[in-house]
Amino acid sequence: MPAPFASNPNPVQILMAEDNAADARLVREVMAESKILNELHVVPDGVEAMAYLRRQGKYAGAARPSLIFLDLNMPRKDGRQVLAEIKSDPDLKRIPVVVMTSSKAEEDIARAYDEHANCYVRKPIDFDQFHTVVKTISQFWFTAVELPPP
Amino acid sequence: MRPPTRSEWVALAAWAAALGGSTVLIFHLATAAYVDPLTNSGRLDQVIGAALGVTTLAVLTVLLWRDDPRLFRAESPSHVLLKLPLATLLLVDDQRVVRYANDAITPLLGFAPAELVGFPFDDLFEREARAALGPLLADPHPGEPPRVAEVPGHRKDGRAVPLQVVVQSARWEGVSVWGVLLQDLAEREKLVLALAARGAELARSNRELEQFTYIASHDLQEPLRMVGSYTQLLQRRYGTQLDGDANEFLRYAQEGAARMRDLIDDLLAYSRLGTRTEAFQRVAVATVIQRVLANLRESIAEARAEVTVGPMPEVDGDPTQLAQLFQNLIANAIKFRGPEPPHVRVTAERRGADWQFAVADDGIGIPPEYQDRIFVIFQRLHSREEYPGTGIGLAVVRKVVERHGGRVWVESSGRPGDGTTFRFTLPVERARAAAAARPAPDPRAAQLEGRATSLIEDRLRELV
Repeated sequence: MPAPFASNPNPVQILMAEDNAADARLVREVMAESKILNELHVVPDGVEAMAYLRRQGKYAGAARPSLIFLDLNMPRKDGRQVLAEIKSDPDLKRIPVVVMTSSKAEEDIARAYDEHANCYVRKPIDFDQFHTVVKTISQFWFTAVELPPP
Repeated sequence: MRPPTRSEWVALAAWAAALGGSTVLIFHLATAAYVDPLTNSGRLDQVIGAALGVTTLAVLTVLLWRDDPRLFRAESPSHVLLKLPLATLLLVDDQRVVRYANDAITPLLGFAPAELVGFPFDDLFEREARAALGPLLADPHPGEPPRVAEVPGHRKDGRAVPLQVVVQSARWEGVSVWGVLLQDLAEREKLVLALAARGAELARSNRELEQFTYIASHDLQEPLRMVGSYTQLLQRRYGTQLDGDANEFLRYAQEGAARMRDLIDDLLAYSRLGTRTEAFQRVAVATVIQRVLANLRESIAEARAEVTVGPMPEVDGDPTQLAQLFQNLIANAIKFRGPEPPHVRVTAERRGADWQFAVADDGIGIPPEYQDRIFVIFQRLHSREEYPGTGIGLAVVRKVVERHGGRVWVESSGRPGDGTTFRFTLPVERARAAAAARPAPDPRAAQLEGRATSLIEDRLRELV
């Protein structure tokens, strides 16, 4: 799928699974400033995340995301489980997943990569840093690299 | 090591008294150990180590009667260095007459030390049992391990006391004597179990504290992130609509958040020093230091610092933690510099069963009155404007050194330009260090130590 340049009016679809409204809002603020046309959909936990990805129930018409921001610690079903499910689902496993979390713990990082997260990013306390991180991620995935075909 | 002269013994006793302890006798049972009375009390541990060559549990020469935590560190759950009370020491000549007794003889057997000078040694024991003393005090061979026996004795008032008698030949005032250490066996058993229980308690409480610190620090990050990020967002989006005061208020808020993040990060790392550990491996210290210098490349360049590193040995340790240790010390040496570019020297020399490392600088120094504070977590001697940092570096250094079975201390006159030297020890071989502390064959001691060990392990298992 070609990246959305000015010639391509379709916004990039991004799914964010994040239970913390304040954190979700931060990402939203950053993506809103992005030069890359995008639509950010936020779900508050792992159960909703899987429902969205499988287009179940109220998510029947959901767009397939080109990128997933995944928080590790969520209620009902946490990010680790979601990651495992996505990467073992032949239909979903190609979608790049960026694990975002406050944990710097090496074991969390290692496990995320073991579970085939595409990358792992630590949420910084500094908005400027956060802004740079999210911007860099979106530029990387939507401009610099070739995304997998759907 | 040469035996001390009389005046040196006197000076030693005075020094010990000044430390607030009871009479301290440092006695390496083959020759008497020499301890410089002007040295800081950190050296005491080294001699204690030597004296432990007797038996761990029957140690008999550790005699600082105050609660010095350095005497009570737990390297690993089952290796608790026991703090034992004043041990009873006699010096007996080759006629089996007592020539010296220390103060501990009074609570043990009821005699004043002076009463025993000239007293026949055998008379301290039950008549029927005295035959056992014969082989103990015969044919001195310097350097042989001590001889141990259980011989029933009695107090001055006649009451029976089951005694463990440990004998080794020694020299005192130029004469060949027998060093005799006495211990009340009944008391010892109680003591060992009490101390083992205390050791277990401490180990458990340490673990809990580490877990708590980790959890608290971890949970503090998220709300902190809210404060930091949103004050920044506020400034970005509305900054132009706010006056100078408001922007300044926001700046203070953000600086606070940034500082708190550093504190939390440091606390987290510190709390993990004890819990997240690799198994010890053989480490080439030179390689560790090279890595550290690479990490510090920018600060070294910025300060135009000159760092010289002498020949370095191999030790048993955790390479990540050893890197942290050296990095903190070298970074400090560079940071706390005077107006001139700093010179930092890292050296190692062999001292007995240890390697003694030194990181020496020619910076601003540390006044003696503050030297006990600096290893405490978050203690700083300067404002943040003068020198940045949270004040955790030396707390980490101490924790890592102690985990590796060593000690760390500081030497500084406090006069700028004289600089500071941090010294720390690491055992040459961890296995050997543990073996040196292990008892001479004494089945009863081994049994008690076994019970103490399993007590500690049980308590720790409850935690996991």
